[in-house]
Amino acid sequence: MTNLLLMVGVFLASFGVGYMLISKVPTLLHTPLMSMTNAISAVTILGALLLFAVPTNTAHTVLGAIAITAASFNVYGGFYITDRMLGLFREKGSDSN
Amino acid sequence: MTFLIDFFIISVLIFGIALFREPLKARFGNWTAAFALLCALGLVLYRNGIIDVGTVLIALLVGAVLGHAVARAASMIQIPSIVAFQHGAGGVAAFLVSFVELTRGDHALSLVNEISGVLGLTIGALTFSGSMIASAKLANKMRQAPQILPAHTLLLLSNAALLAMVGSASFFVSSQAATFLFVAQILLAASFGILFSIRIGGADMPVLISFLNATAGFAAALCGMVIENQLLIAFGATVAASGSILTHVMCKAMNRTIAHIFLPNLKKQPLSAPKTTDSAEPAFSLKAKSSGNENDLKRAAAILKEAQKVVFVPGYGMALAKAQQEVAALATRLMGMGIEVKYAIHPVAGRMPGHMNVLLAEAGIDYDMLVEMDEINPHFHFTDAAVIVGACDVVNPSANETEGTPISGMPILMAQNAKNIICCNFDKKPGYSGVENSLYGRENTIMLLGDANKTIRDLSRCLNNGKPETTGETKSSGDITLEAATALACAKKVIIIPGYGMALAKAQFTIAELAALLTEMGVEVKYAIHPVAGRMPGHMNVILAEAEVEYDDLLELEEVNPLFGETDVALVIGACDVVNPAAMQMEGTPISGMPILLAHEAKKIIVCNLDEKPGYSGVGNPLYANPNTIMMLGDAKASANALISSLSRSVGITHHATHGQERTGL
Repeated sequence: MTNLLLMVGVFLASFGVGYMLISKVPTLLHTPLMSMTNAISAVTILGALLLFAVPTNTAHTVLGAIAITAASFNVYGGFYITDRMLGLFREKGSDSN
Repeated sequence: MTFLIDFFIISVLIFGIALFREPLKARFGNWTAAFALLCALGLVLYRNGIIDVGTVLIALLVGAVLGHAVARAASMIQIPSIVAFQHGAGGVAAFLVSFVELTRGDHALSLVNEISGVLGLTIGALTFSGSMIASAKLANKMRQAPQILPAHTLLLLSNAALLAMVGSASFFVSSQAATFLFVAQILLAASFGILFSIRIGGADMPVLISFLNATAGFAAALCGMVIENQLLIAFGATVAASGSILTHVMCKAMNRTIAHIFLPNLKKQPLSAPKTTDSAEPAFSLKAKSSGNENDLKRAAAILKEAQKVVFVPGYGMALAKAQQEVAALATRLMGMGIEVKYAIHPVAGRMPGHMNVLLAEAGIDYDMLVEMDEINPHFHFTDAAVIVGACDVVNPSANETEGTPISGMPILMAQNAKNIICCNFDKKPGYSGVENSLYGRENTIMLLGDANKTIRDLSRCLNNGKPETTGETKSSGDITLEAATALACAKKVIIIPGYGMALAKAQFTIAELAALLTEMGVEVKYAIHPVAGRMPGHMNVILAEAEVEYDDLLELEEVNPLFGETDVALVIGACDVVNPAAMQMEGTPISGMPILLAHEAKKIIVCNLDEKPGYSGVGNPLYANPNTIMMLGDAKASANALISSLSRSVGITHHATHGQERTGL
């Protein structure tokens, strides 16, 4: 029960703090924001890794490997494309390209 | 201790997100968040030994290489589709992890774990299938229009009911049977995701993609609850928060509730009704318009040339026509002509939140030129030309003017308030909403139909070679010269206001000559020197000294300003900002509050400037439109010479004005 409370607490606290901060992100940056949070949502990679912390059967190994690949694709691609996008935003007066 | 470390990593992530509040720090914020994720990864590996290291490494590597390749190849126009695809990948990982955790049965799962697992499985799978549909629609691999099956809502609801039944049944059966039920649950959830997203049309994609962002976050958080990992829960919750905010913002911008977008059945009827009323007309006028295209182009170019403020309104059509580079080029050219250019960004223009910002950033446009809806709307009143590029619903005045349409009440960009509207859309068809755009029929709207990329290029071309046409309409230059010369001849007091334009035209000698002639005629002549006229402190003084003007005729700002009230003629030579009354009369311009020379207080004002464009500040000069102002546009030296010869004739003095070699001195 304490476990449940702790987990719900962590969820609510993170949701709340995230909500407060993200509300202040200018609309200018909404696409990069979504792209970055998209990368963060691939945090399921932690769960996928944990599947390999205990002995598994072949079926589970295959599924786990697919999960890791998908999450790794999401996390790497997500952060990379966000960085590319943000690199395009420039302030007035800064040099072009 | 473990909790403290977790807390630290979560704080790093939150810090990264906090950095997103400022454009310049966002890039670092992105890396900070990536670093937080890397720490979390390292921590998990440190706490739990991995048995099958080889498989894990290969899987990680394959994913990263694929992710890199896709992210690198993606152009900015593909971003929404790529992001949706990545959401899908996240969904796959989420439901697979939940599935394996639920089925492998090597350790007892609490009821909480199980419930979270089934939910994670469901949300993960529907995120996956929904994202794939969204991605396909966004990549144009699937029809963008809503696809509605017979009894779609019923199907959706029964699918949801089945999900609930199978989901709850899985708690009460043997583990063997439960495995099958979980598989069934995944399939059901996937079909739910498909049913759910196929009937969402292209323009509602920003909401769908934001919503999927939120569900991906929830799926991750639920995964965290299965394996009781705080990091996963916290990270997932942050994403869920972000997705929820974006969904809310998008809905608000479209003035719709989530239910209207996701369950559009009730709204279907009015959607098609207005479309049919004049559906025959657009096709006809499309043909009619394309013949008169060249004329319209010229008119549009003339408007742009005369404009002081231009606002571009980009829409998804610009993205489709890949016209953002052309738009940026046109804007740069306009700015080079001294025209103030802004971009009006509607929150739902494009296919995902902030889509237009990314596209325009890609075209190298400074982000401080991108102005949000609420901020730009009051400015349309002062805008000479609103250039609409591939946008329809977001500028449709019907949203405010008519009741009962799908867009009624939706906040729009008030392009209709601009003096002129230049619409570079592909056709006159209604936008996604199906509501005819009343803007198209307005008198001050010029429709440039066709591929926006080509239209904008043509417009740029017309700006170049349309020059001679614009000057003919005004009074003949002879009349103006005579008017100005008469004003000068009748004057008792004249103040000359030199600006950098005089230096550029090398007109100082001719001006000195004109001043000498006036003095000879008994007119009192002074020079008003603004501290920032020219390009360096005291610039005008040096230039006039070069033309042998005596320095006690050169009056400084504080000294000369009280004199304008009793001055008959203020003669402005190549000066703009330093005599712009907007500095005193308007708030929020770059020159607001700047001290100026009060030329507008003189009885008559003669302006010998090259053109009517704003000065360096980009702020239009209301002095030019003053009824007491005589505009002598063109080369200042030529204007001054014309004045001299006209004056000489009228006064009857034989003067060698036009030759100018011999200066009269005193």
